[in-house]
This record gives sequence, structure tokens and C-alpha cells, in this order.
Amino acid sequence: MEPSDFRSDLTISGTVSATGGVYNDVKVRGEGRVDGDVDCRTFTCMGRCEFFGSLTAAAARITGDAIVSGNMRAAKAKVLGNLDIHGNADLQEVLIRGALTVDGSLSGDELEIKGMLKAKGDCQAEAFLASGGFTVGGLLNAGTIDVRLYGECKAQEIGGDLIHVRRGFGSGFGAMFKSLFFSSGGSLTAGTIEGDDIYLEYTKASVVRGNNVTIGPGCDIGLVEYKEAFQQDKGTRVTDSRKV
Amino acid sequence: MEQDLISKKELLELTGISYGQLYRWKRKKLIPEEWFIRKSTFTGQETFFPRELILARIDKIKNMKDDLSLDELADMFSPAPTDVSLGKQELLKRNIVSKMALDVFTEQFGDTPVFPFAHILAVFILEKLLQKGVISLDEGKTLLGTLIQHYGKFEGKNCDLIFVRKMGVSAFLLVSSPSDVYFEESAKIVERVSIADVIEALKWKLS
Repeated sequence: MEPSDFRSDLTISGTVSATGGVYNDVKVRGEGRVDGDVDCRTFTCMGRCEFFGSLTAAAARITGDAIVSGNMRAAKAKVLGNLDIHGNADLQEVLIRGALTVDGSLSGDELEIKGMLKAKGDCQAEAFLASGGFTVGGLLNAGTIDVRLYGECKAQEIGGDLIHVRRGFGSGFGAMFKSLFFSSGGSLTAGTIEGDDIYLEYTKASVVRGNNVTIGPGCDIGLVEYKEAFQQDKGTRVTDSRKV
Repeated sequence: MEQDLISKKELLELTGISYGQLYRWKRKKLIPEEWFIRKSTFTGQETFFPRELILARIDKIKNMKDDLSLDELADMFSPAPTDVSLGKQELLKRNIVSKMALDVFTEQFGDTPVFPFAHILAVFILEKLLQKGVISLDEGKTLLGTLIQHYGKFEGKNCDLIFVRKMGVSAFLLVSSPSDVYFEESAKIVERVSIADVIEALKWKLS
């Protein structure tokens, strides 16, 4: 990226149409439409903005609604509102408190989901930390996958080093209080789950493969294949298990 | 073309790597996406790999991962060109290409002090085919022209170089890979070179 001195800001307040290009800070307060690819240092969206093209930003913060018709790249992204990406997304460090929808695949370094993530393709990251809901249409591939189940979570396939899935409500007063507002504690559905160290609760999967596999409460697993160790909770269903 | 495939389970058993490692290497693009072949079997969907390619690749990763970081390794395996440029003397001294191949280049494109990666690659392929004895010096010139004019258009994506002869007339083609090409009967494919493999070999030589 060139020095910011050569870049100008783009501020959208009211209803504005703008063209793409290289900008310093892009701020949207009203309702905007941008035609063409945009490359900017920061992108802040408090209103509603639609990009017809791709969006590249060093840092993005979306409290309103943003739609990107192409691909999006960002080193840092905070989604407090809604962000829809129709292409692929490469977002290195992401915090989702609102909803992020990606029609293609999503790749990044650290994904933290406290809201909702929908990716139609694959999703890959070094760390995938979820305490919200997610749907991944393809493979969810991450070094560390740490899921606290609060809502419905789904992935066609899951693979990684460490895969831990636990129900969100812990114990004590806070958990009782929360369970008054949420009808079910959430669950995970996946086709296959493969990793080195796997701990699962309230998960439905056809096959689970790993070195150390522990199946906690509320699971329904078709087949477990393990290399070193396998443990199973009493109130859980594992149709078949074998050491390989 | 029926490939010899290996299932994921067999691969892990044979190489002793874990699921975690396999997924990590996939994330780091040490193993290309195209090698993950999904097939349905009686146990549901399973993943298979082209046997020879994956076994060779995993062997290399296991041998090199102590000396290089995963990112450096990924760079080695990627079909994208690196931004290495070398002088003529150095190319000869490090035995990357021979003087004869270089002379063919300078005769056609003039004398340049520094060779960018794309040009090194072109001369390297020329060298390979000359050594194999499948092309003449004149055909070598056509080869260089083809590579230098068209290779950049693939923008780092995989491609194959095909050399065909028909009744003594020769032609070079660059096609994106993987792709199938069929020729009429009287045309013969003399050589098909995977540029990705050549780039990988060249990157090892340059490093």
C-alpha cells in the first residue's frame, strides 16, 4: 500500500453514489453505493453501503449493513451489524458480533464468532473460536476449533489439530438465568470430524476420527475411529467404535 | 485416465502423520486443493489422493520441515514464480543452466545482465528438453518464444507444456492444468512437461 498522504478520504452521508478507487478512510453514515473496486486503509460503516466490486481494507468496522458483490480482504474486521460478501473473503483477524455471510469461502487467521457466521464454501483459520452460531457448507479447517454451543452449528466436514465442542451454559446461577431465555442449549451437526485431540458434546456426526477422542454428553455418533484413546460418556450414543 | 489413488486413512497409516498435520498442511497450501479427491464409498464420502504425488510430497515436507518454516515450504511448492533474479555468470556457476542453453536465449533476445525468474524458467525448460534430446536447437528457439510470450498469462496457475510433431513439423502448446487434450492420429505428443513440477525443481536449485 502506498503512503496515506496520497490517498483521500471518502465520506458518505445522506444518499450518495461513488466510484471505486484507492482511498484513505471510507466512512459511511447514510446510504451509499460504490461502483468499482475499493482499496482503503479503514472502512467504517454505520449506515448502509453496497459495493459493486471488491473491497480491500486494512481495517473494517461494520455497525450497519454492508454488502460486497465481489471478494473482500481485510487484515482486521469487526462485524457488529451485517456484512454480506458475495465472493470469497480473506479476513485475517475477525470478530463477529452481528452476522457475517460469505457466499464463497472464508479464510483467515483468527475468527471469533459471538454472533452468526454463514459460509457457503470452506472456512479455514488458525484459530476458530465460536460462541455463537455458524453454518459452513464445506470444510471447516482450523488449528484450534473451540466451540461453545449456544445456537445451531453446522459444518459439512470439520478438520484440525484440536477440536473442542462444549455446551455454552456452564453451571450455577448464570447458566440457569440464561437457559430461561434460550430454549435449547445448542447443538452441532457435522458429517465427519477429524482431528488429533477431539472432545465433543451435543454433537451429531456420522464419523469421528482422531488420536484422542472423548465423546461427552448428548452426542449421536455413527462411528468413532481412534488411534490412542477413546472415552465415552454414559448418556451418549456411539453406534460403533474401533481402534485403528 | 484412471489414477492410482490412496485413501486418507491408508495415507496416514503409511506416512505416520496425523489428521492435524494433514489439515495444517492443507491450510498452508503445502498440499494443493486438487489432490483432495472426494469419492463416495460404502462408508460414506471419503477423501482420496493421487498416490505417487502425495507420497512424494509428504516425504519432502517431512524431510524439509526442520530446516524451513511451513510458509517457506509453501512458497517452494507453489506454482507461482518467485521474485528471484540472477546474473548470467551466477546461472552458469551454480550449474542451473548450461552455456549452450543460455546462448540460444541471448541469440534470440539479446544479451541481458540479469535474468528474472520467468526467463530463468524458460531457459531451464529448454535445457531440460535439449538434454533429453527431444528437440533441436531451432525448435528450442520456438520454445523460448512460446514460454516468454505466453507463460505470464497463466498468472501463476498450473499449466503444462506440450510438444507435438506431425510429419516432421513441430509445435509447442501451453495448456492450463489439469486439462485433457486430444490430437489427431498422425500427430504425436513428443513431450508433456508439467510447469509446476519444473518450477518446484527450479526453486530447490535456486534456494
